[in-house]
Order: sequence, then structure tokens, then C-alpha cells
Amino acid sequence: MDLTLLSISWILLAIFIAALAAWFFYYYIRDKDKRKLMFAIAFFLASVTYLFLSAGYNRIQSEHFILSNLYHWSMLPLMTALLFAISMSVFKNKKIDILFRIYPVILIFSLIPVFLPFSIEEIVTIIQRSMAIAVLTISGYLLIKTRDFFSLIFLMSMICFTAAGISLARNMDYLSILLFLLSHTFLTIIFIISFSPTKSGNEGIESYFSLTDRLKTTEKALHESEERYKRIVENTIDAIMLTQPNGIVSYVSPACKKVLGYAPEDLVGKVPQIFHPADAKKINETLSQALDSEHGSDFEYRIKTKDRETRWVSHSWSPILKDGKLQMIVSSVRDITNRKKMEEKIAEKVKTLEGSELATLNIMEDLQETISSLEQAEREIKELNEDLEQRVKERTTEVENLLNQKDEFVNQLGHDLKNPLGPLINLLPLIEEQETNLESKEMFEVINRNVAYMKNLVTKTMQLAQLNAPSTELFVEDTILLDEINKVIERSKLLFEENNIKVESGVNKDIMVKADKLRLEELFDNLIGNSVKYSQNGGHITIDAKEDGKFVVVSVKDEGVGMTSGQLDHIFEEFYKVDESRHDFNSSGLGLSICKRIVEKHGGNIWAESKGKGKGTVMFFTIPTSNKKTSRTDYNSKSN
Amino acid sequence: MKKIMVVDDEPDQIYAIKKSLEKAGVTYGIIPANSGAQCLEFLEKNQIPDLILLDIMMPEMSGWIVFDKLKNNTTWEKIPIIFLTARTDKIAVNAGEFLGNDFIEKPFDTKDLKNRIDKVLENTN
Repeated sequence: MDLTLLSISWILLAIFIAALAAWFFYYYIRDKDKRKLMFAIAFFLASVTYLFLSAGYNRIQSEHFILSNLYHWSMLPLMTALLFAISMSVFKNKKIDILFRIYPVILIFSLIPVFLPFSIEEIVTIIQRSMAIAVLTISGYLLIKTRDFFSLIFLMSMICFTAAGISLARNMDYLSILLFLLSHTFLTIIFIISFSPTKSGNEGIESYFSLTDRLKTTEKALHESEERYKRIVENTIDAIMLTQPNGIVSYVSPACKKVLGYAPEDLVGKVPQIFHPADAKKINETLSQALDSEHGSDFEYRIKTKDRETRWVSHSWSPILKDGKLQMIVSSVRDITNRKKMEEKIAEKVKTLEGSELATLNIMEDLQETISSLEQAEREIKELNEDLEQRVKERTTEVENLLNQKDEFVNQLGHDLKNPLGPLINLLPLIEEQETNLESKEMFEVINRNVAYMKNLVTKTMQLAQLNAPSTELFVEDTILLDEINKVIERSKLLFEENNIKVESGVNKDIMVKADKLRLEELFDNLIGNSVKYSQNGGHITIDAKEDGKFVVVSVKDEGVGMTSGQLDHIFEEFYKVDESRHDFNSSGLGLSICKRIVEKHGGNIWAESKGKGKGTVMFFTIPTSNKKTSRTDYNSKSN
Repeated sequence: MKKIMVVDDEPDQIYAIKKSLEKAGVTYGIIPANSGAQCLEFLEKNQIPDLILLDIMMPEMSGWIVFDKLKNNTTWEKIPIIFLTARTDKIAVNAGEFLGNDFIEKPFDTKDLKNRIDKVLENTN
């Protein structure tokens, strides 16, 4: 092959274009942008074309079909790439990957006829011209539409290509080389300008060629950010909703299923009719007010879910404005049913509490009234009490006076009754002695007996009256019990002898009691007298005493007639006589009543025990013991 | 002969005492005084007894007043007094025991009265 200037020019062009292809390839490796690979392939194969041209394939009819066919085919990839680029720019087709997959397939299939044993020149020429016309037409349309710089350059590049082809056919090889160089240069300029960081256009042909890493990074970042927001939006528990100004929902996050009870597809593309009828009016008013303002707000209302369940939601929204015009409403809707229920419960509780507070107030008022009336009553009672106290005082004084009068009366009566008895008792026996008439003597006996009875009755009544009188006080002193017993025994010696009675005292000489000596003697007089009286045909009377804590228990035991339990119940009653059928002039029926009063006045008790008729009686009484102990030892404790 | 003045507003009482004492064999002369005033009158007339049986409850001048007057008179203060009364209350009993020489409750037993009189007279001689 001769190396002429022309062939060298073609070779230089080929090298330049191959270099551009390598440059594109480098960017493909860096950015993994298949469009760059596509142009790298296209430019490389174009450089092959120029090599064929350096060999003069445009003029010679090679016998080697394959090489000839390869020459004709080698420009096809570039034409195809340009057609794809312009098509994608016009139709805003973003599916680059698909196109790139189509591209190699087209190349491989178009390569098959290359290896056929005949020339494909004519077919390829027709295809190339068709493609050139298409690219030119579309470029022209794009320029008219966008009127931008890139479209102009692209169109110029296409014009250069077309002109280069025509020049080649007219054998104007140098012009052709120049035009090819220009066309490739124009294309490369589009790429280079698109690299500039100041450019961010994405319209027209530039969108296809703006294959810079910055754009790519931005796109990637945008994509990532979009993904992130999408994830946030789709994973948030609140339903995020985008609504158009006309009320149609354009997007709603999956959470709406949980929050609103509707699937996103139930709402998207529609004006949702989910409001609770009771709240619909309020919602519409709030919405229209809210839409008039440029700021977002939030409000709470009820909705009806797809399952007709009522729920409370909190709706926060904000408008997206462009040039002061509402573009979109972004809403966040949250299910607050539980909160509302809680609030209702609290409100109910508060109401109940308020109610009970009111009730408490009422009770307090009632209480106040009650207290007032109680205070009034208290005042009245106090007055009454004062009055009553006064009256009680007066009555007490009256009663005291009366009691004193009674005491006085009893004493006076006793005195007045006893006085006339004196002469009777003293003089009657004198007359009786002088009387010799037996009948008269008998009558005197009767009189004497009755006078003695009257004396006994008057004396005992007087004693009992005195004991019953509250004014009668005991003269209590520390007393040796045995001394008092012995006094009585000594005094009644004659009585015991007359009745053939033996008296024994087992009382310890050390026992001391707190007692009124005279009363104590009176007590023993009565008890021993009774024992004598009811001991027929002699017998023993045993007096005993033993200390029992704070008291001394004294017993007077006889072997006399004894008593039934029925009689025992009554013996301390006044004027009670054991044998009522017997007219007993020795008994007044007051002796044991007097004993009982004496013992009680000392703070003790008196009782009787008998195993029955004929089995004797034991009289017991208690009398307070004295703390003092006697030191006397010289007293005879036995007597008869 | 020992003289005993019996002061009692009841003449029957004095009579009964006189008769029963005589019957009991006593040889004392009895000076009857029907009131406290009469008792003092006799004393002023130097009729001084060896013993006075003094009733307490008498109208106009009670036995207490008579007793008080006797004890406040240097001539009469030593005359032994036995209270003779129907009263059995503590005051009367104590009066007999601590103020006078003895106390006898009406109606009395003649024997008892004689014994007491004898005893007091023995003690004062």
C-alpha cells in the first residue's frame, strides 16, 4: 500500500478518532456509564472506517468481500449510536440499559451479512442514508423545540457527517476528512461541555451526553436520598399522605392501613370519604380555613375505617407552595384512639370527682347545719342542765333536809316510844310480885311478855332506822376481833347457862379488823343471840375466823333447828320470821336485817348456810382486815 | 345516906326509877327534879347529891346544857353523872362514856341500873 498524503491524513484521522474512543472508554471504566461504552465502540469502529478509507476502499471494488463489507458496515455502529442518542433525547427515554442491550445485538446481527460472500454495500448505504435522514430530521426538530446550544452543535455535527459522506462520494477526500474531523469534534464538544461542573442542564441532547461523574453522583445521591425518605415514609407509624389541591390523594404511605384502616390503593387517586359524619362539617370548615393560609396546622377528628370502625386521628399538614401557589399538601395522620379513650376516661373520672366534690360540699353543708343545730341543742341542754342542776341541788337539799327530819323524827319517836315503856317495864314486875292471885299473876305474865316484846321491837326498829340513815357514820378503828367476841360472850354468859349452851371460839388472837366496835358487838349480839334462840336442848356454838386477803371471814355455827334453802333466801329481809305460825316474842324479825346493814356498812358480805331442817346453821360474814397486828398474847380465847 | 338526884321531865320515869330501886333494895335517897332548871335550883339550895341521873332530851333545858353548867361550876363539877336516855345514837353513847361517868339506855333493867350506880359511887369515893 502506498503511503500518500491522503492515506496519511485518513490514518491520522483514524488515530484521532480511536484516541477519542479510548477517551470515551476511559470514562466508561470510571463511570460505568454504558452510553460512553457505546460511543467508545462507535468511535472505534468509525476509526476502522477511516483506516479502510486510507486504503482507498471508497474507490476500489475489493475482491475480498469480507473486508469490503466490513468497511461498509463499520460506520453503522456510529450511526446507530447517534440515532439512539437523538431518539432518547427527544422521547426522554431513560431506559439506557435496555437500549444498550439492544445496541450490541444490533451490531452482532448487522455483522452477520458482513461475512456473506457478496457485497452489502447497497443495503448498508440505504440504511446509512435513512438513518442520516432520520437523525438530521430529529436533530432539526429538537433544535426548533429546545433552541438550545447543544442541539445546534449536534445538528451541525450531523450536517458535517452528511456532508462528509457526500464529499467522499464525490471523491473530495480532503474535504471529507475535514468534515469527518469536524463532526467528531462537534460530538466531542458536546461531551466536553457536558463535563463542565457549571452545567447542570438535563434537557435535550445534553441530557444524553451529560455523562459527567458529578451528575452521576448527584443522581445517585438523589436516588439514595429518595430511597431514604421513602424508607422513612414507608416505615413511619404515622400515615404520610400527599394530597393534590383538588383533594385527590396522590400518595399515601403503607402505614395508612394501620392508621386509617384503608389500603393505600383504596385512597390513591381518590378524594377520601373516610370522615366520621359527625365530624365532617367541622373538618371541611377547618380544611377550607387551613387551605387559605400559607401555614400548616393540625387538628383532630374521627374517621370511619373500611370496617366501619370509628377511630380518632390527629392530622398534621403543611402546604407545598410554588410561586405562592399551592402545589401539594403533605399530611401526617396518627391514630390517637387510645389517647382519646384515655382522655374520655379521665374526663369521666374528673366529672365523677367533681360530682363527688359537690356531694362532699353538700354533705359539708348538711354537716354544718347539723353542727349548728347540735350547738343550739347543746346550748339548750346546757341551759336545761344548769336549770336541772339547780333543781337537783334544790331537790338534794330538800331530800337532805327531809332525811335529817326523818332521822330526827325516828330518834324522837324512839325516845317518845321508849320513855313510856320504862315505867311499864320497871313497875309491872313490882306489882306482879305483890300479886298472890294466880289468875292475876298469869295475866301479869302476859302483859310482861308483850311489854318486853314491844321494848325489843322499838329498840331494833330504832337500830335499823339509824343504820339506814345516810347520816349515820361508822367510827371505824383497828380492832382485835377476839376482844369484841369475848365481850359479847362475857355479857351473855347468863344466857348461855340458862340455855345449856357451850360457846367455843377458835378465833386467832392476832386477827385485827377495821370495824366500829359498838356495831361489831351489836352484830355478834344478834348472831349469837339467834344461835342461842334456835338451839333447843343445849348444844355448841362455834365462832371461827380466818383471814382471806383483804377480808376476814367470820362464822357463827350452831347445832340448832337449821333452815331450808327457801328460808335461807329470805332471812335478811326486814320483819321476816323463820316460823311465822309461831308467835315469837323474842324475835322482832329485824335482827338479821340489822346484821346485814352493819356488815354492808363495813363493806363486807353476810350469808347463811344450812344443810336443812335440824342440821344447824352457819352464819358467815366478811369484814375488812386491818394492816395492824396485835402483840397481845394474854387473852383467853375459850369461854363457855 | 347517899342521895341520888334523878333529872327527867317525865315524873312517871322518876317514880318508876325510885320504886324499882327501892324494890331492888337500895338505900339511897332520891331527889326528883322535873327539869334542868329545877336541878340547878336544888343545887343552888345546897342540896348536893352524890350522883345525878340525867336525862338528855328535855324541853327548855336539855341534859347537855345542864351537864355544861355543872361542869363549869367548881362546887358541882365533881358530882358523878350517869346519862339516862332513850337515845341510842353514837353521840349519846359517847357522851355517856367520855363526858359523864356512865350511860344507861331507856328502858333500863333495874338490876343493870343498880349495878352501874353502885360502880360509879364506889369509884368516886
